[in-house]
Amino acid sequence: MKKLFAIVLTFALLASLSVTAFAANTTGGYADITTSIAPTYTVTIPADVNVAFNATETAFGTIEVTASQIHPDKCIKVEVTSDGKLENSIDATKVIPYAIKDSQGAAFTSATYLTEGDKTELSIHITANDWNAAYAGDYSDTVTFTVSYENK
Amino acid sequence: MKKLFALILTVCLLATMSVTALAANTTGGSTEVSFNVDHTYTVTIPAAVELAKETAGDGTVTYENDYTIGANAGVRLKKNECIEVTVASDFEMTTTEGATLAYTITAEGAAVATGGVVAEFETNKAEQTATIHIAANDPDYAGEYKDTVTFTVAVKTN
Repeated sequence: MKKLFAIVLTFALLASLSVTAFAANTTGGYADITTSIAPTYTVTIPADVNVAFNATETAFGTIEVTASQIHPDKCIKVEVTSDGKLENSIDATKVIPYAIKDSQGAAFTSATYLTEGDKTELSIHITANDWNAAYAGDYSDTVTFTVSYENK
Repeated sequence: MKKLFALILTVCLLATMSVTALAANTTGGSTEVSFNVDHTYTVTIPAAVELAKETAGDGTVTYENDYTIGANAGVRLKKNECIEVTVASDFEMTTTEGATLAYTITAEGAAVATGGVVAEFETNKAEQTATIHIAANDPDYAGEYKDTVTFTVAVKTN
């Protein structure tokens, strides 16, 4: 019993002793400033075009990037697909071959663009021989432009 | 064991005992009373701030946000002292692809240069805050932009 009281008294006295608290100061710190900007771009492509009879070269319009905010390691790619044949509306087997070319006169199938204002002027070319061999009638074809976001 | 406990009890009792001071003479005397009060303050610096897109009426796009630095209630300094928070930065965010975006920090409407003061706090029982504004123009490139700035807190004499 005496030992028990001695132990209790000991712990009671120890618990009553005060502890000095020191001020907690801050000397500085770091902060991250961030912002996230998603890529955006706007590409205009040629609209419908009418090719005049016997015209060997007809302006087809312009592929142009009218707005662009893309990653530095990316580009905007535009591909053109067509079968290269204007088909007669009455008989699809009667065709007039044509080619799509850029301003340098090279056949155009695709190009990549980086910034606003980048563009390619296109034209449609039909040879005089093909015009001479063509049947009468209305001809048409559909050209598909595919725009994609690619690595450089 | 009994002797050990007796010894512990004795030491504890001695530590808690008060001492009676008796007057040395009847004509008077002087006693020096002194005590020290330490500086007490805690400054909170948030770890991050993300700039948000803002579009003005004329269509101008910027990326901006406010950033608040705080001092706890009960800042206690010496008379004529204040806490000064300064910032160190190159004021340019970058992306992993290498794109860069300059930004500005303004405090109380004035642009802050590296090493400049962004906040000052005084002895006050209430919480104190200081808000700075961070802004950047619309960049040329998309991406995840980031920069790390360093804030330094120091007690200064006014």
